Amino acid sequence: MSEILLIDDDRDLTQLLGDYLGGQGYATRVAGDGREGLRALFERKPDLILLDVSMPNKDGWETLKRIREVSEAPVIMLTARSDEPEVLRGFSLGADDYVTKPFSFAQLTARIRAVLSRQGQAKSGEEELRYADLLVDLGVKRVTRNGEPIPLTPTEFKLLTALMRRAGEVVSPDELVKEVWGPQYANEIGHVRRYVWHLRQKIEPDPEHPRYIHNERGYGYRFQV
Amino acid sequence: MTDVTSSHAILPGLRPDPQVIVRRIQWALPLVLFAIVAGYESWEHLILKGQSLADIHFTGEILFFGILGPVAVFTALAYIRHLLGEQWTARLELERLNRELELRVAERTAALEQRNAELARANADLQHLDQMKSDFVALVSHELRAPLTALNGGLELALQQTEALPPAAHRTLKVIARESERLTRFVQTILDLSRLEAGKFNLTLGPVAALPLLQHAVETALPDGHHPVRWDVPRDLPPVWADETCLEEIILNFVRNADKYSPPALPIQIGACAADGRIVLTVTDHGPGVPSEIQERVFERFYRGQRGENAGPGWGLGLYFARKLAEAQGGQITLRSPAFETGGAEFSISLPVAESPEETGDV
Repeated sequence: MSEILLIDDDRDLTQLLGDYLGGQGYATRVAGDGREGLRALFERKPDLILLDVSMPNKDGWETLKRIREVSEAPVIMLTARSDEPEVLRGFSLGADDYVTKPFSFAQLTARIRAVLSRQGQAKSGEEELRYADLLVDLGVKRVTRNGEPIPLTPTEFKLLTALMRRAGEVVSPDELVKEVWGPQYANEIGHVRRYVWHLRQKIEPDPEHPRYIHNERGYGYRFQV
Repeated sequence: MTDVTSSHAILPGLRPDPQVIVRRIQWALPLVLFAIVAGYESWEHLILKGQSLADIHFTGEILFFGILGPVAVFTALAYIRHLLGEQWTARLELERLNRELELRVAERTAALEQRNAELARANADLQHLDQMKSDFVALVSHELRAPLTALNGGLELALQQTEALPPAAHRTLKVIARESERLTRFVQTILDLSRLEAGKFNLTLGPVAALPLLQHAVETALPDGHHPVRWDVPRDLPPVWADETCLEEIILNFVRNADKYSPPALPIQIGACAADGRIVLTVTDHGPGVPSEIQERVFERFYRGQRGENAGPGWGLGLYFARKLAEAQGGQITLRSPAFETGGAEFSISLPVAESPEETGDV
């Protein structure tokens, strides 16, 4: 049974969430603030930490820094702020994922499962795709080049991962459409060139001379560094 | 104020009145001339030639050279003085006008500066108020989010134990959960709006395929299918340039509205077309339509067509939010009503077509 450490000062929420996660097969330990959370971390060595951002004593960011000094356990931040800089700050400090309040318990549980399974698979590198300086985190759907985040639309993200998963192979526009939009949208084949061109504008250091996505004239596209 | 009109006044920066100098010369020069002529003629006639004072040559030359000559000089200088006087007066007048003008400009500049300062103060006050409003909205929404998390979570937890709950309690909890979800969406909309208005809303623009997005939005907004949907979307539509998530939010809003106002069993039409480098996506309902006098107002914040007991559910924010979202990504929302002879409303969003690459070696 995986153990989850829940660090949040909202007693009502922690009690309800503890009960819910208990019902989902997780053991939970609750800490009311950052200091208590750090103590519990030493004592229990949890498999995953849920950490609230706004707390008295030591706030979530401060606590996250301390956690990362001593532990590699995955951390999901519970934040009431969904502003981009806050989220980026969380990732730069070593958070694995975040959920914005108000979240549904089912949604949070899905994230917990995803992070835990990623943690298990991370060793084999299956939940992230990395080629040279391009890194795609499949869990949080985030793309970075040299650590710099590249914002992509959901379609562009799917297109990139479809190509990256078959790195080195030539993928035809037909196959790309099936993978990205679904087989019923075969009419998009005529526009694949446009999607790829825009994707290159975002991910390639020099879109005129692509480094990642190459054309195989008459056949399709090949992702190769 | 100094009397600048007086011809004797010597203004700072001005040379002394030249008339005074000319007047002195006017008197002195004829006298000097007379003295020179008198001296010369006396020496010539009385000493050299030995003539008497009554000699006609002596008196004649004295009269001609010693008196008429200086009188002519005196008259000429008087005329010069007169001209100088006129010039001097004109100059003084010009100076006075200049000073008056400068004074008036200075007064106006001061008044303008004061007005500018007042405007800047008013602007700062308004910005401060706007910031306070945004902060307040953010704070309230922020403070609502934590209890909403516990409330939604608690309901989720309770609703999991269906068999342990009496049917009436289960029904009640379902209603509460639905309302809580609505409140959650409202808080999220308010927060998104305050970010949009503050220009802090992050958009990720890219090419978006219209048909899959429209179909996904319809599946989400009309899951029970009590309205038939008529599709009029060309198959070869080029992708639009938009933020995928926000565009879907706008279409969801249109479809939910159409669902709310369409009588059951009447179709909702979903259309798309390309024209002039833009793509227009439309959602048309067979509801009562929107009277022309309120067509612009339906996009206002908190505006609701019906009030009081007749009002349907809603906060009056959906279309305002949709328009703001559309504008943020270079789109334009329009309403056409009646859409048919029998009424109905057509909401459409026009967005640019995603730029097409030059003919390259691409597939």
